[in-house]
Amino acid sequence: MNKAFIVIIALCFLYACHNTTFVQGKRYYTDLCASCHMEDGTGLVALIPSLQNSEYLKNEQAKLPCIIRKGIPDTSFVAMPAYKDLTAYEIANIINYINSSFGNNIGPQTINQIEARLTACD
Amino acid sequence: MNRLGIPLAILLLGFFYACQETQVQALPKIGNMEINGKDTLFHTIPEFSFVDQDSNVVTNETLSEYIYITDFFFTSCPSICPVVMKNMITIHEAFKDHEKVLLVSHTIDPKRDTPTHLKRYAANLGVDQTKWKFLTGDKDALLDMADEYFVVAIEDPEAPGGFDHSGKIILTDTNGHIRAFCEGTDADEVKQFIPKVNQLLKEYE
Repeated sequence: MNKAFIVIIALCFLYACHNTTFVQGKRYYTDLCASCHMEDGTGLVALIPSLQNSEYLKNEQAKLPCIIRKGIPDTSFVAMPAYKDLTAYEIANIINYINSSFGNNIGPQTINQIEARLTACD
Repeated sequence: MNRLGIPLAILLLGFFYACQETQVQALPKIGNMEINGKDTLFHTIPEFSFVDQDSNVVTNETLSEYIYITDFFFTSCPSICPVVMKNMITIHEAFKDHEKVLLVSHTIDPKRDTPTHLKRYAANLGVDQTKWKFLTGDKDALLDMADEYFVVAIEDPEAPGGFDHSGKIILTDTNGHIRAFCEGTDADEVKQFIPKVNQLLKEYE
């Protein structure tokens, strides 16, 4: 009886933790991404893409690691900068934070996937 | 005695607040003032001549009928500009139907931000361009003008995008006096800034 109770409590904690995953990703997002894509992911009208409920993000998961590392230099106004010093782990944290925030429900990329995708674009 | 005391206190407080509400202080004229004999000269935006996104010349004369809200930015700015621009859009939305209010954004990177480039930028923002001027011109004149609005704007190759500047949003009246400002990167400050624009508008009713 007591054991079941402890398991339930433990599960509750686990679930609470699950809701606050990607804390590190959120920190990177705030430092590196929020000044353009905004804290709430809304972007800036037609100048900076919104990350909210994003079809692009959903469809182009494979491109994201390289977009973060290489940037998109040829945009007409505010270019997406290259974050070439970020490690695969840091990029994974950012992508997985975005994938689970701003109304996106995309599911995480694994570190192996991200490393493979980064190798492909290097 | 006590029974009477409390309602009396409430009544007195009521009067006190009633008085306070009718005495809204006018917005100050910001900057150093000069006393010249009997006249007090307030800091005034000096003469300028810039060009807007439609290549029309904009001078003090062009703005003299308006109270206007100013910032300094550049279109390729990767640091604070997008957030300031977002907050400028909030202000634009609040006043775009008001005939006496204009928004005036100055670029500090005229080399890249030509009228054509600013026109495309404004179109991408989707704003009413009759109510929002994007000004460009001589670089030194633009940087000096930032100084007049108490905005820091200096060329700095070390800074992101090549310019170091502050994101202040400034409210100027029809006489070229600065009446209020806020930190354009702070959405809460911008929220408190909007009633000040309304307060200034009351001076012209």
